[in-house]
Amino acid sequence: MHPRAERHLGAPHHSPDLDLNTLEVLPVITKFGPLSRNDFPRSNFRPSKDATPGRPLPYGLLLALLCAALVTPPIAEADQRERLLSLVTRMESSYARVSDYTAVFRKQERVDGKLLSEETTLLKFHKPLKVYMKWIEDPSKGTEALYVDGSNGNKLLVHRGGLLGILTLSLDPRGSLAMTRNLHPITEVGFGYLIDGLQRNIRTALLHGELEVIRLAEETFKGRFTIVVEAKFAPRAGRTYHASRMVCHIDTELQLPIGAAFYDENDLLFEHYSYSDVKLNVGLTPLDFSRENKAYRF
Amino acid sequence: MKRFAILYPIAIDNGFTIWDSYKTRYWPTLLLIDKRGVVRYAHVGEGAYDLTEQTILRLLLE
Repeated sequence: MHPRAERHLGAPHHSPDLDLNTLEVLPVITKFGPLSRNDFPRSNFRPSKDATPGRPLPYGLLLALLCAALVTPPIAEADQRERLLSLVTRMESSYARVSDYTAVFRKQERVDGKLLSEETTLLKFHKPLKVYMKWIEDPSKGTEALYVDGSNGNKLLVHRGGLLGILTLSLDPRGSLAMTRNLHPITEVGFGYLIDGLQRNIRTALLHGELEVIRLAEETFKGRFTIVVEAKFAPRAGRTYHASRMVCHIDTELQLPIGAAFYDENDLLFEHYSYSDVKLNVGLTPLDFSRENKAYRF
Repeated sequence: MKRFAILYPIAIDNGFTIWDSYKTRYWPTLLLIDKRGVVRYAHVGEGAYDLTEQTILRLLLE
């Protein structure tokens, strides 16, 4: 996480401490096929229409049930934790099978208190860290950026669109010029960094009982079937999370996060990323990440 | 130049004459030329500030 994006959040509203041992042994779904609709029903809490009143339970049994309820988390809560952990595991497993991909990548960030306009780019990514981006819509249409870890002196090459496109810039990817109007350097673009941040924040928050799940359900996002995870982070004991609230859309077929929005402690959006037209393992070659590529303008 | 109190001479290269003469490809490109007019050091891109300063100091001693 870039320091400018770091958020220090206040005290929680209410989140009971979890029994860490209990969390460790929570069963995790280990099916690695595509997520099915049955895995995430539209509502986890819809009361049964078939429920009918029955005879009163014996007093002793009621007392026993009450005691059990006091010492164990509600089933729905445990179920949500299980599903979240399963989602995280599936994203990691899915991304582990990816070597390269292309996508239309959109981002919108709040920099120095100002929410900038959305940027739309064509993204090419190859593991471990080769990135080519071309801005395909205004206001930066025509701009290109290339970063290949271990090449070009570890510099970010940028060729601006329009009249500024006469020169190719060779920049420190984390330098002040490259970070102008950006919360993150180009080295943090892509699914891998996003998944790593999500898993770290979600697992830590679950471990410490600092995650309040607001939504965990099916939702269509940019024309794709997804599982939406909306959750609030309520840190204690000096812990920090990337955001106070997040809304993440995980593609059910790709099992990758194709949308992620993060909100600060004032519930202001500070960054929003989305991926569309994602194509995995397309066989990108070194030429796709070469400044000598004739289709590029470096 | 006035705003930043720059007192040393700065070459204006709006026509890209210097840029093309040295076959410059990327901005910034730093060339150090010694008193005999020989290019002694070149660096492309940001960074390497310490090495650049050390090289300037060494060349000044020649």
